[in-house]
Amino acid sequence: MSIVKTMRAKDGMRGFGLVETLMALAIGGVAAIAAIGIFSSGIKAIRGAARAERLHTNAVLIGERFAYWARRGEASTLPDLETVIFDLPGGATKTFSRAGGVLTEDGEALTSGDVNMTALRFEKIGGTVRVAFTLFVPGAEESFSGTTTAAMRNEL
Amino acid sequence: MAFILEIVKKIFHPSLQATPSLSRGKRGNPCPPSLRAEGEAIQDFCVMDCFVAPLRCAPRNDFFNGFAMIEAIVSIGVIAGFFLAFAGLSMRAQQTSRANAVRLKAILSLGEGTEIARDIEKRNWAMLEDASCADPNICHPEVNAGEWVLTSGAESASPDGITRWVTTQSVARDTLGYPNVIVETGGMTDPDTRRVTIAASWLENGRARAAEETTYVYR
Repeated sequence: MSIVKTMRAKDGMRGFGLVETLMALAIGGVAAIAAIGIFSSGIKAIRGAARAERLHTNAVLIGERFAYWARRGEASTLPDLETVIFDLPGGATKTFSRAGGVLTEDGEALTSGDVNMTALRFEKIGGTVRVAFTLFVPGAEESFSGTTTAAMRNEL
Repeated sequence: MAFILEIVKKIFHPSLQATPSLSRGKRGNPCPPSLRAEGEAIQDFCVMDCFVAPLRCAPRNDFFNGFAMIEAIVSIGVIAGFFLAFAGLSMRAQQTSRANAVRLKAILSLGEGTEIARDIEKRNWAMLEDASCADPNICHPEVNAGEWVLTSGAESASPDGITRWVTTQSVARDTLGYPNVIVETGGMTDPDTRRVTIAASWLENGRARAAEETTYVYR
């Protein structure tokens, strides 16, 4: 006891005891919980934003590829709601379809592997073909629903 | 304020302006003689590990008391600032992402309007000359019996708050013979060319945004 007293007096730390320790731990704990909460929600938000950007990039790609081939199309056939076949000059064809959750162009995946597509619907309106789709990342809440239309112009 | 002044006075106290010679001082240990000013008491202590003397020695009771509090306040401030900045950044990322989604839909909508104009160009040229869609009147595309038609007024807002409309204008050329160029003022009206403007407006984080695309259609 006398040793403790001597040490306390020597170090000038009189009064620092269990209460202060508990208070410090409590304050530190609350601060740590708040910090972890802010940090984890922030990380979640940033990851969500990154996923959303991936969806947007895929949507732009779909819109551009679809419009590119539609403009070159002379005619189109829609065997089902999720498939469109453009008849191109020279007898060639270009097929857009959904397979395995991704949009395919002549059987090759057009959208990236980590992005799935749902609610794909092709519709012929006059000389145009309209495509509506929803993209999402499996296991995440972000999704993007888009619609675009392209007119068949038989362009070369 | 008085508290800060007190700290500054302590830091710049003459007793702390020791000889600036190279020497090693260990935090909490008695100041080595080379770091002590002449006449300074041996019980002075190093404030922190150091090689150079100035501001490094202080009487323990004079300097160490309260130093932990300053450290704690500064640390809490820095950490709180960091987390607030991080929270702000992540919120901004989310907002930007949402805004980008709406903007992308608006751009797709404008592109669709251009394609629809191209389709109407081939199938129903008279609709593009209709006065009800000519500037300053506005129309919007609609599907009617499997064909695109232009209907008076702006399109009702989409679930994302995007409103789209189309307007047409006559086009003037410097001459109707070839070659010719489109002129903004003067010239002669070309009855076989129309300028179609597709516009969209939407709200982005509470602020109004608008974009438009212009294309020419030919009979």
